[in-house]
Amino acid sequence: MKIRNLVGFLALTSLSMAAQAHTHLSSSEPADGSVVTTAPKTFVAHFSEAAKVTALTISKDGGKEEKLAAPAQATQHLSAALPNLEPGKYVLTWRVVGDDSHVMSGKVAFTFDPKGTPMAGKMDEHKHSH
Amino acid sequence: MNIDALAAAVRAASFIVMLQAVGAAAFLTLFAHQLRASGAATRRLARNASLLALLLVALHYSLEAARMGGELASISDADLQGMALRSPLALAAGLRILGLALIAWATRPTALSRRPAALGILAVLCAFLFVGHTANHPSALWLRPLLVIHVGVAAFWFGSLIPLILVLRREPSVRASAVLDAFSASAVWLVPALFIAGVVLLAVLTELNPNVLSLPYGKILAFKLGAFIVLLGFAALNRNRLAPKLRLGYAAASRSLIQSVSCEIVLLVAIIAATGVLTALYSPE
Repeated sequence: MKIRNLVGFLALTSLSMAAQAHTHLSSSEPADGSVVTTAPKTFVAHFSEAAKVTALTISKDGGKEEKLAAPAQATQHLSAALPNLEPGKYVLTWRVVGDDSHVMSGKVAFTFDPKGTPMAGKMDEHKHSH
Repeated sequence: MNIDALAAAVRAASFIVMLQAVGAAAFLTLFAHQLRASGAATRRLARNASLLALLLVALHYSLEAARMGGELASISDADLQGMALRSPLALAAGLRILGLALIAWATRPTALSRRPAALGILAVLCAFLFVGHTANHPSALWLRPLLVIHVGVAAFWFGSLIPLILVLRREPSVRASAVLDAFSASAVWLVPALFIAGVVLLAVLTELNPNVLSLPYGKILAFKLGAFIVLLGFAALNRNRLAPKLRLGYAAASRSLIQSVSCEIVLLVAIIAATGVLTALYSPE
């Protein structure tokens, strides 16, 4: 059975374009899925490796996206100023280009609720797209 | 508009047409001396495919800035276009465009120029040395050539199928049989080379992590596996059942071969398109 599985896996890999690790978001503040009771002033992101941030936007309750200033140089640790936030649900969308020239993107969703219960949220490193 | 989906679609289309152009040019380089009635049509195929591929490659490259910015409007962003220009993507696009232009010129209506065609094929394939997931790997020195072998054989296989149909339709059965036998003789060792190169690449870059199979990446690979197995079935049918009948002069053999090769084309288009989308949108992580 093990040999058959190995053969099956090897056959599965035929005609494949193999992939290697890409830049991904290791952690952020606010974290994805978190609830904060104080309006955050900055968005802090830690990437798996230095990457050039090419797009950074924030939107509230599915509304229009507002562009945020991104650093000019590649960085592994991003700190971007946020506008004054009103209570609501926010989605922060990021795009980066790594050393391998691949464009990676992802979203971080958080809720600002001054009367809510703070929730740390969870960092799912796979919630990003190539 | 989902810019990632648009870029992936253009990438997939560029892969299909580019491999068609390269494969048809390779077919002509090897077998043009055996072609009479189908030669001009095959040159036209290679030329038209290379010109269309050239446009698609240019479009795909220009969309990189849009992907960086996350919206189509970013295609006119000078800073992002500058980033793309300074990346290996520009070199790869340049090589592909140069190679396809050479193929288009080499397959012009008046004559076939083998050496420029071969140089054009080489330029297109060499573009894969500079981009993709193998380019930045610590073992890139030997992984890159494997990728070129993998893509090159795929291009020859796929790009030769329409020319084979043209041969079956237009050439006398004796000549068609000879061309088919010559192609089949090369495929016997080329297809295993494609398979082995692909296996080694994926084994090294994914470290044979079985968890890959549960990801979108793995699911697309599973589809490609299924299509590849069916593809091998058609190839075996052609080689072992239909080609011998063509050789013996059976009237219906040509028609059956055309149908079988057409099925191979459909499967390979699906595999190549899946590869384009796979490498644009997903990773095994």
